[in-house]
Amino acid sequence: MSQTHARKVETFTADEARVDWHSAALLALRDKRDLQAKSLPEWEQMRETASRMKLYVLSHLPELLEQFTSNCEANGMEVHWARDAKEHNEIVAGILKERGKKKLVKSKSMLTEEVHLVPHLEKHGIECIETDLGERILQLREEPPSHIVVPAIHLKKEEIGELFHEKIGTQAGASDPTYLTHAARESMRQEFLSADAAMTGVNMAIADEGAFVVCTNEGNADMGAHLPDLHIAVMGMEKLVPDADSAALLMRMLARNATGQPSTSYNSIFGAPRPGCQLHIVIVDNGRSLRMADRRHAEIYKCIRCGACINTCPVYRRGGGHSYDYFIPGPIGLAIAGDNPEANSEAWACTLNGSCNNVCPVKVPLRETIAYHREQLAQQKQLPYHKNAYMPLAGKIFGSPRGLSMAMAAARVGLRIMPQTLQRRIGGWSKSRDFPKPPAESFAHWYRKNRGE
Amino acid sequence: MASKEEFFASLTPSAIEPTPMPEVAVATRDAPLREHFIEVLEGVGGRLGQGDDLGDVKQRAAELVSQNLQVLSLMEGVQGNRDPSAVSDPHELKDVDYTIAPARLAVAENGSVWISGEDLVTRNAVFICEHLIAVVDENRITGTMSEAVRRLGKLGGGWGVFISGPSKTADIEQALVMGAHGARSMTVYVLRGV
Repeated sequence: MSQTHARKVETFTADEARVDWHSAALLALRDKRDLQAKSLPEWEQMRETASRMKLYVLSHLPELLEQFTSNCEANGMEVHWARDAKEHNEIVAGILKERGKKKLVKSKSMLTEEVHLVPHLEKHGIECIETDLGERILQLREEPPSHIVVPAIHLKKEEIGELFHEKIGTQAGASDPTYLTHAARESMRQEFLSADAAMTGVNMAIADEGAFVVCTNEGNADMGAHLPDLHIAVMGMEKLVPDADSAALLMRMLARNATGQPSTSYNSIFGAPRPGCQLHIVIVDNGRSLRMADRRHAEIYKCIRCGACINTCPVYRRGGGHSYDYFIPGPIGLAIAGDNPEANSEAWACTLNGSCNNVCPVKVPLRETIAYHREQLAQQKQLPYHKNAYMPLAGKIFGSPRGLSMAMAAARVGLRIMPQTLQRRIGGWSKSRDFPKPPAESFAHWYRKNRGE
Repeated sequence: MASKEEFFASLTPSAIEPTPMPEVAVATRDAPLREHFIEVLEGVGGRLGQGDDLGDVKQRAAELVSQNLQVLSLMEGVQGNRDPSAVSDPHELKDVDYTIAPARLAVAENGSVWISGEDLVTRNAVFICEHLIAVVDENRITGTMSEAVRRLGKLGGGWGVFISGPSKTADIEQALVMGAHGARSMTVYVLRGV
């Protein structure tokens, strides 16, 4: 059993100023996203179409996979199949080793985090360089990403300055983002030029073209993929879209919803290897089809990984990405893996406020899926925070009008006479939150007095 | 390692009810597209080239060459000082200061241009350079990404990229910095149509 979310979050919340700074940075992304969404009159129509298009994809996966594969092969690419993480890692290591490759430059891919690819390749003596700046910072810090789009959002520039001073020789004490970014550019340029293989993720795989789209702002995916003679692209099978119109629809939404940009700087469409070079695609299941076999869990695979649900989530903003058990934090991470009994507190790292649902570009029912995980864990008697013990009792008391009214009367008196410092000592919910001021009377009492016959 | 057949055999059927493919509406934008494109281009950190004639691009290329910069021109009729036909490996372009490339389309709503691999001596020519200059005909500006993709038609293999402004990152404290791994600047010349 892993530590509870409430416990893990304490590391981050110990520094209140950092919590406020972190929360504000994410809210700024949310604000920029809102401006972009409002700038398109057809935005809500696009969300509805994108949602239905992804439902079409998820209900027609085998035939779309077939179509994508045969078109990719016709375009000169080689397609591989991985049922799980182990197969994925073996395939990638195999491709690299067969060709004697020693150094791989990688652009960001949540899939490779999911399957723990890098440690596997390093065991085989293959050097892996993360090339997205945020990912590279974390690789040098030997730390996992705390966000799927802005992986180093939890770090201060001074911390990055210190790291770069130690690792790539920037001036001591320097923390200017422009200076640090350009120093990283110079250092990474050498890595790109000396790599003998490149890996990218896939944002959209276009079935009827046998092509795929890779979106970046930094240009790292393209910089990596167009130098060596080998490019491996890895994708979860849910990345499929039927056609280029559908890809264009998602391209119009992805950056707007992620960072509030009208587009990422680069939307690169790969439909063939470079002459004389090889392009391999690895298609991965790794539990996806199993989750999709449960209707109430299945729609998580509509997700396009924009991260907007994470930016808007109050629990994430104030708790940080490292407080979660699953490698994807925030609402989408909870919706994917919140049913894990080993990390049973995850599904409660959520207020069910539904802000995530409101910003999701493909209408993943995030809140409903997280609530479903709670329901399942309750049925399995796997509730966290001693809920197995007290929830049945609470249910009994609150289930009777008389019990409810007595409990509320006691709470009104208790909260009035108990000093706040003592309330905080109760622990749990009240540890980092203040109870609301109790009203003078119950609603039922007020109603009888003011509206009663 | 699984064969394709083993992979398909291992898939559990999706519980999602068979859903028909919706019609994907192609959003359009009204004129003036040139002004719209320029406004968004500048908003994403791109610059508008000075002048709207191929002659202006030629003149700019000549200026850059006279400053002893390495200029790779892939634009017909524009002369740089690097011979595109001599490029046999993309690594050779590591010291290129400016790449000048033709764009087949531009997209007003996001300030991007579509550059096709067919027009480049090697794909990396538009990423590895310090600065990128793209040249597009104003009649090739579309309103939205959806219109652009429609206009491109079937891709049919190959490679191409929509580029919207310079390479950028905000990975250090959300501070926007131009010039992460790709070109530090992007200038687009919008030529008056003929």
